[in-house]
Amino acid sequence: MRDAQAFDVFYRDTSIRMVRYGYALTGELAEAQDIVQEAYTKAWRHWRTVAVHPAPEAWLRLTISRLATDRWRRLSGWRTVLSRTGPPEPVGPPSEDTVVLTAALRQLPANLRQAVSLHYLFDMSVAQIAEETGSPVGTVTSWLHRGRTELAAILTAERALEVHDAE
Amino acid sequence: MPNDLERAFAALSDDTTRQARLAPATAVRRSADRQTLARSVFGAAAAVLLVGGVLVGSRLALSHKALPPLPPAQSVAPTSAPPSAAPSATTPSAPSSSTGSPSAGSSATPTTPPAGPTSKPAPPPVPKSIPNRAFLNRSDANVMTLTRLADGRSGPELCDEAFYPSTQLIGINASVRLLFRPAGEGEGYAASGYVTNTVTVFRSGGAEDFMDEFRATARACTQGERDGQTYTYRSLGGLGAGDESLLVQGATPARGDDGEPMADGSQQYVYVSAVRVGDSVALVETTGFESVSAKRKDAEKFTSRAAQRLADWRS
Repeated sequence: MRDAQAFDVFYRDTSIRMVRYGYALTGELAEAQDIVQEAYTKAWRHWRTVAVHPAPEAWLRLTISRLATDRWRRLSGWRTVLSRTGPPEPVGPPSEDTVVLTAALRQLPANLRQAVSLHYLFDMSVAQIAEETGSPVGTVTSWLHRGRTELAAILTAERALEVHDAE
Repeated sequence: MPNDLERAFAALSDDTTRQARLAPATAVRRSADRQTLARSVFGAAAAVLLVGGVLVGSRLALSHKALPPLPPAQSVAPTSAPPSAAPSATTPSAPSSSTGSPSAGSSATPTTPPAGPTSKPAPPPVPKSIPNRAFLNRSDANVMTLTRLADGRSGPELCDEAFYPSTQLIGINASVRLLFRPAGEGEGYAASGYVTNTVTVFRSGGAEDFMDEFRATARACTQGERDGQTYTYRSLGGLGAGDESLLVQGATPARGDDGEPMADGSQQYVYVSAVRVGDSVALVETTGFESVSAKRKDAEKFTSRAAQRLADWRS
């Protein structure tokens, strides 16, 4: 018997973090929501395994990164499920920082995007990222360095463009 | 600039908290359970048909001559351990995570504990990159385009039941895709299909785990969605390549160029195969171009070639 209560607590405590991660990986909030719901669906189907996993959140992140990479595959109709819960509450557009960041992240290769997102969203150290991605520490160090450098270059160029446009 | 990045990620976090809309946990569980139930019902129906088929078949076999046996689910390499040495959960310590060069060859690590009665040499370390020679290439088909994909593909998600915990043991992987036309045809001839070849090197027994998971996925996914169409999947057994292999066929009603099902009831096929060579797996996905169906003989040929290229690289 799977422990529904434990799953619900896990979902409540972790789902927003996972959407942030999905958003950083895909650059689209709606897509991130779909991917995250799909990942939790998988987690519940395999809850006996996930519940005793030494790091259930890492298991979920891995599933999300896989779904984000393979997003050419179809996802279950989570938007249909949500539509049954009523119309969405009105929300403002994403902030300018978010728009610029997601656009910049999309220009990075998937491994750099993943490393940078894990570092900034989950405050993970190089060693922790290395363990989660199964990559050597030196490789992750290089990913983070390249990721930061490339993001900084893109963001700087965007800001320069904004200043130029404002003048 | 690090501060800029921190500020940008903080903005993304805030926006997500403000804007994200997730279904309640109960809806997630219910949806997962419904999917499982649907598959169970379909599986039970398939089992009834199978049992019926077996009964009819056995009567035919008794009254006539026996049919040849089905192909084995997996091929066994001549050098493998005896049947009793099934893939176990015990995983020898991973090859040093400080990876060697891609051309490291077969530098065995003598500190690895003995794996069994046949004391196989330790696998070479996980390489830093996968060279082009490990993949299918232009000599393997009448190739129109050959593309190295930005990201390596993961395990085939034939349906929602697909589950590959071995993903956590991937050392490195990469994919190429070839667009090909029929053999012997020239420039002006239309493409006949795509083949996507993924090479994955695993750590700590992940390759064996992956093959088990692929077999389990093929059993669980009797039906699944793909490119908006419903495919029926069936395992075609091993191909006698590598240490173990499996070929899976997906079928859906063929559609014409107008997108409508063909009047003659013909089927359109896709093939997904995996071959393990030591700590590595070659995954081959063969699909037709547009409304053209993939051919089994092409899938078998590509799989065999991919296995050979992987073996040549990892040996």
